[in-house]
Amino acid sequence: MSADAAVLNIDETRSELQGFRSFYQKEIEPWMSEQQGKQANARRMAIFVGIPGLIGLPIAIWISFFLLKWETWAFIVVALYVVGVGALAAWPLMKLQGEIKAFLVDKVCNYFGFTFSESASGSGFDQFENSGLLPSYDKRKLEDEIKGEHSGVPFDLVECRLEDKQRDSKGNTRYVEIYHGILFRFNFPKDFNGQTLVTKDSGRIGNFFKGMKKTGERVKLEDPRFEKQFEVWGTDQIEARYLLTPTFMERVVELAASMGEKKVELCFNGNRLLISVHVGKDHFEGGGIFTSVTDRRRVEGLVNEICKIFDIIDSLKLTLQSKI
Amino acid sequence: MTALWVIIAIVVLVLIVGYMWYAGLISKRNKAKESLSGIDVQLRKRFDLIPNILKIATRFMEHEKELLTNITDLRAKAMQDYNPGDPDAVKGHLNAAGALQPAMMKLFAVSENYPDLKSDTTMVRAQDTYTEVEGHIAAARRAYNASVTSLNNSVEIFPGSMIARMANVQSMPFYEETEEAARQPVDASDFLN
Repeated sequence: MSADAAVLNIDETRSELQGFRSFYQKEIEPWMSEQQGKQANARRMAIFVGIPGLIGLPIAIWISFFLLKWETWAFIVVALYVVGVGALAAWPLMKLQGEIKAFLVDKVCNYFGFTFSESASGSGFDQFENSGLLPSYDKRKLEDEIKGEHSGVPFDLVECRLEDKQRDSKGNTRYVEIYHGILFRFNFPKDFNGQTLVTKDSGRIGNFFKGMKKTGERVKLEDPRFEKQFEVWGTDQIEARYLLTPTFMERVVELAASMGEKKVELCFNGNRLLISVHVGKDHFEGGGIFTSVTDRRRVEGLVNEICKIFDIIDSLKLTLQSKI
Repeated sequence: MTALWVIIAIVVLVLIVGYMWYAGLISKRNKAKESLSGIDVQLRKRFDLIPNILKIATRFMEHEKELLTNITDLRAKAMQDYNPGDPDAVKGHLNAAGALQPAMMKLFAVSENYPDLKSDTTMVRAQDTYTEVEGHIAAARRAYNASVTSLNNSVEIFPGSMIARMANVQSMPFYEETEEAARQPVDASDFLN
């Protein structure tokens, strides 16, 4: 049985997902079926442009290099030809993929009562920058902003890529990705004034150098599992322990185990809990450019990505108003 | 001549290492004292809150005079001045502060028997604030115990023990959660009629 025909594979035992299947059948599936024709046309267009383009490539090479002997310019002409034909062939598919993403992510977010914006406003990003959770960078890209509330806990998230400008031995400049992750912000039930940063452990020497850039002083905590995985810096030793209670440390360790070790870092700043989860791949895309438009895995993937928000809130028990 | 220089170099090295060790000890002792004052700041909040709670409780809990008096006495004892440089005085102070916590827990448990008190909004608010203050005290206690562990390790392990003796730096007591007597289990039947 193909993925198209399979039943939507989501965990309906989760209270948040109860009723999602019928929502999918009513609100999403009919629209996806309507797009089948569009996708077929876009694919035909890609083939219609792509195949003659491929056939024309040796001709372009022959003309540029051998017939007209453009030498240096020949490379540029052939490169322009390849990019032009590629863009022309892929353009309808990319345009359709953009429409599919916008529709699916928006619909799925609406189901949970969240709002989605493909172009992130970047409001609140300063808080992450000042927290010490992110590396220094030269170029940033923020996209896919989701805002909402789960179990009474307001949150927002944004997908973030950071790039660093580097020069190779020939002096050419290039941008290298140094961070790709999801940045979550949650309201935290306890009041606090300072900053407490929880980063992954980088070994003795790594921690020493990291510590030179961090705000506050090192906070040594009692939980050996937590201490093995994380390093904590805080502006106030007592406040750090008020926030990182033994129970909360256990929850952080469990969350890190479920999300992938060395991927989760967090910071308490400005009465908010900031969490960075390194992902290394695009999120909230609703499938790839070549995935069938009716493939249910598009929606399953999105639902799983959104469930990470619930996992964080539930694992860390951010709904509890406990002051101890 | 060379031997003399070697001896001088060794002596200088020993003096430098000895001084650094001494400086480390003093800095750890100061850190522990700072953490102790952190506890006192949080305890002060508890002490300030208790009279308000007792004032509300007295209106409803006429038959619990003994408990209320006991809390007042424990508070007065815990608030007494002490010398933070004297480990025995610190221990006595922390024990007195620790004994207050179970007495307050007992008060809140007993208050369950008084529906009017339980539903009194000022009491509910006072209890919430008290719980928050207890959270801060627990955090301060953990910070203090971490500083004390670091100090005590330096004071008790050779050659730190030798330098500590010369510099008159002493180990400091841990802040245990409660006194031995307070660790006794609460008999729920006392409060469930």
